[in-house]
Amino acid sequence: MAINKTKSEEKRLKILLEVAKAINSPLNINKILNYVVDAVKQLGYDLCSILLREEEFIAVKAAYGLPEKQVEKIRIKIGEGITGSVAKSKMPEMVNDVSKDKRYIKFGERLMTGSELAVPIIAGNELIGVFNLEDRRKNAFNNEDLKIVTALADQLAISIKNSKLLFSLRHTNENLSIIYETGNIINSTLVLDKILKNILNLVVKKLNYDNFSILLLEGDKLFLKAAYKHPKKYDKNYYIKVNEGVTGYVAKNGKPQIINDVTKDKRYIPVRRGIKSEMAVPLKIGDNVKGVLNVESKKLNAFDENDLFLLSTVADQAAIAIQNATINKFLAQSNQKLKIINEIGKVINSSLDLDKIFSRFLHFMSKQLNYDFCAILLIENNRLYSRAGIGFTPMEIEDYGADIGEGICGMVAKTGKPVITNDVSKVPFYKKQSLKTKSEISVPLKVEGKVIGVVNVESRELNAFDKEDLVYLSALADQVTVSIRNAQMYNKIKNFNIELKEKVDRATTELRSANKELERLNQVKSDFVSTVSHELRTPITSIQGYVSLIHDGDAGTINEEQKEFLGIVKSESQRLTRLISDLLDISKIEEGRMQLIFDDFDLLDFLNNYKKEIQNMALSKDIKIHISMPLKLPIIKADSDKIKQIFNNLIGNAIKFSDKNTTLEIVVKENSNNIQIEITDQGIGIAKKYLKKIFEKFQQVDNKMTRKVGGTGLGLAIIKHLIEAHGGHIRVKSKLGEGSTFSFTISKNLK
Amino acid sequence: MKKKILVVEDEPHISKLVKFILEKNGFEVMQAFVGQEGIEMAKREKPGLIVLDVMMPNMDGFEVAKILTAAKETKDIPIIMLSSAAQFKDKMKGIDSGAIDYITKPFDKDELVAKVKEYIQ
Repeated sequence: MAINKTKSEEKRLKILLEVAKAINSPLNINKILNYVVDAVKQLGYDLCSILLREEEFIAVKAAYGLPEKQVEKIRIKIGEGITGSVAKSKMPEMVNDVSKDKRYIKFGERLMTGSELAVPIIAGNELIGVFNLEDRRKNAFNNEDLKIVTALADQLAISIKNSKLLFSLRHTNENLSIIYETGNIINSTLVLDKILKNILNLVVKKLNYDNFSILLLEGDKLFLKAAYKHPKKYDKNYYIKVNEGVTGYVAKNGKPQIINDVTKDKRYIPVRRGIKSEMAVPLKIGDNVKGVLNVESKKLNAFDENDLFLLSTVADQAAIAIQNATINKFLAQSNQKLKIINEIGKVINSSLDLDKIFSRFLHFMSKQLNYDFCAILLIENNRLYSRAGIGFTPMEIEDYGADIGEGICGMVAKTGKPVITNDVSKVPFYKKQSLKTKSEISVPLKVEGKVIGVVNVESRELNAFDKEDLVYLSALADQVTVSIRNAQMYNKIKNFNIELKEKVDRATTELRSANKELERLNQVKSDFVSTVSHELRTPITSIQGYVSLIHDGDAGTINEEQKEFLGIVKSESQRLTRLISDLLDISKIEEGRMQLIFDDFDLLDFLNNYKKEIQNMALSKDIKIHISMPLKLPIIKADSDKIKQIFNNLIGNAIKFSDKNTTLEIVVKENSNNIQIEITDQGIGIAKKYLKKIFEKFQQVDNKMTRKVGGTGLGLAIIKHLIEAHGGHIRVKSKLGEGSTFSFTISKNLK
Repeated sequence: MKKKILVVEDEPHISKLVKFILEKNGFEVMQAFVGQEGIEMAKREKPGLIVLDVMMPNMDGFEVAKILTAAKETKDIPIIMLSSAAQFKDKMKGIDSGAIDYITKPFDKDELVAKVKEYIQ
């Protein structure tokens, strides 16, 4: 017996040592407990279990001698049974005959317990759990066992506490790191899908759940947006309704839920097999639920406060990130839309061709809206006529139209307000244009507040359009109305211009032909005049020439009377010649055909040469010529023939109307702008009454001298014109019986 | 040796008149009544002066003058053009086309003689 005792004591000590080692090693709790239980097994008892406290219960965490299944399920309320009493009192108990103890609760079917030893696991004052031993024999335990087990329990207490601390420390660290990482996620991307993916990865990696789902709320449905090991992961149509299941409940109430035993919860909807517990946390911005994060586990009581805390933290941050992503997407879309509309506007407005504008408009529309028919109608004569369309047959588009106020597009045209309906049968003023239409949008085209037309879009489906479509269409319509207006005005102007041009062309043609006719007539006239004057001169040349010859005695001697008569013939034919010339000149002047040829003209030089001629003219009457000229005169522009003509006429007149032995004075002066010539004679002079009209056509002073010397009455009129053509003027000063002074000027500034 | 003058004039009376006046003044006068004839005579006879009428049918005086002044045989022979002053352009054309001077019809016989004497070679 002593040897046995020593041997068994030795054994015990050994085991104790081993257990002590195990307890104090940094293993996790479960491992420690299992190790302890295994070790204690060697002591030879039938059943050993370690129960740990969970609120008001103690649950078996490790055991031998119990079937596997039962280990998970045994939870004893503190105060019930022997173990429960020990937990409550925190005092060990040794019961040598359990049948005699009322408290004994039998659990498990295999063991018929005889005696029980239960020791509390306490750290400080805190009950951590109970160490329980049972044996089928009665009185199996003694004080020694009690001591040993107590010692074990104490060690275990410390170890468990340490482990828990460590665990919680680890947890805290993990918490912090998760929070930090979650924060990183938010700042790393604004793309929704990426955010969801990041959250998924984070949760799965750090929190070690074997499944995880992110659901987002759309209307009254929660759609699965990201998931880890969810059977419906790829089903885009899968959803949970708000208030359905645990997730739905959380979405509705905005409160997180931990379900420790799903079988006991009515709300639970099975998705996977074998699920025992579930945790769901709402994604909230303020009070608005945006979605739910959901985790499930095959273990009972898988989730604790810490898990809830962690997941809630993730959820909070995730909600913000998702919100930001959504806003950003919306902004981007809006910007994109604005950009597109701007671009479209540019494209549409780059043409003044209405058909092009319409076809481009319809093209851009089809990119955003799903429609079956679309028509652009413009108002003409108070009715809407379709101008362009898609989806119609040519016949249908012909008939497609409405009076103002008739049907949907008519009403839009009347009120100037757009109409959108997803079920045309519900619209009271709907007029059937087509049997197939179910949804319709109609938008007015306005220019400066006035409706010029309507854009009508129809679909065969119900609910084909939404508010966004209306906004898009309206924006597009605005872009287009201006260009429609421009195109219309451009067409008007173009047509007007075409008409104008035609009118102008016609007028020009008429004018041209009229001018041609005038030119032709002019030419005919001038040819006529030239021809006539030439024809007239030819015979006169002969008459004059031969008469001259005879008169001068070149054809033989003639008597005085013959000479006298021939002299008359000669002078009359000379007069006739002069008349013809004058007539020609005046005809040219009157028709504006008198053309002067201006060239450099040296008056001094001219006069020096002309002197002789004058003297010849004056010879027969013995009239003395005095010419006074300045030493220098500038070269001017003049027609030398015409200047000669002027001098011839004036000097001729002067001589004609002067008596014998009189003086003729020619004075030349240079003024600042012109050269002035004065011809003074001592002739008979001109009566005042004739002075005024002297330069007019066919004006001849009526006196015997005029009748004597003849004249055409045209000379002064002609030279007046010639002088004026030289930028000068002519004046006459005269007194009857005292002579006359004719003075004229020639401009120095002619080009 | 009498100096030769060629008169190119289609009007016979006027041609005769000019001839009479010039012969009276000691010149030998040849007559041509159309432009072409005038050119040929000028080339053949090489007169000291040509009196050339402007208004002639077929070839007018200007054309004749152009040809005469272009041909080496006749380019140095001075030409006086006779014109009805109706055509004011005559003056310019006359001078441009190689004529040295012009006289208007009806002309003064003294003026004619004076100019002929001045230019004849």
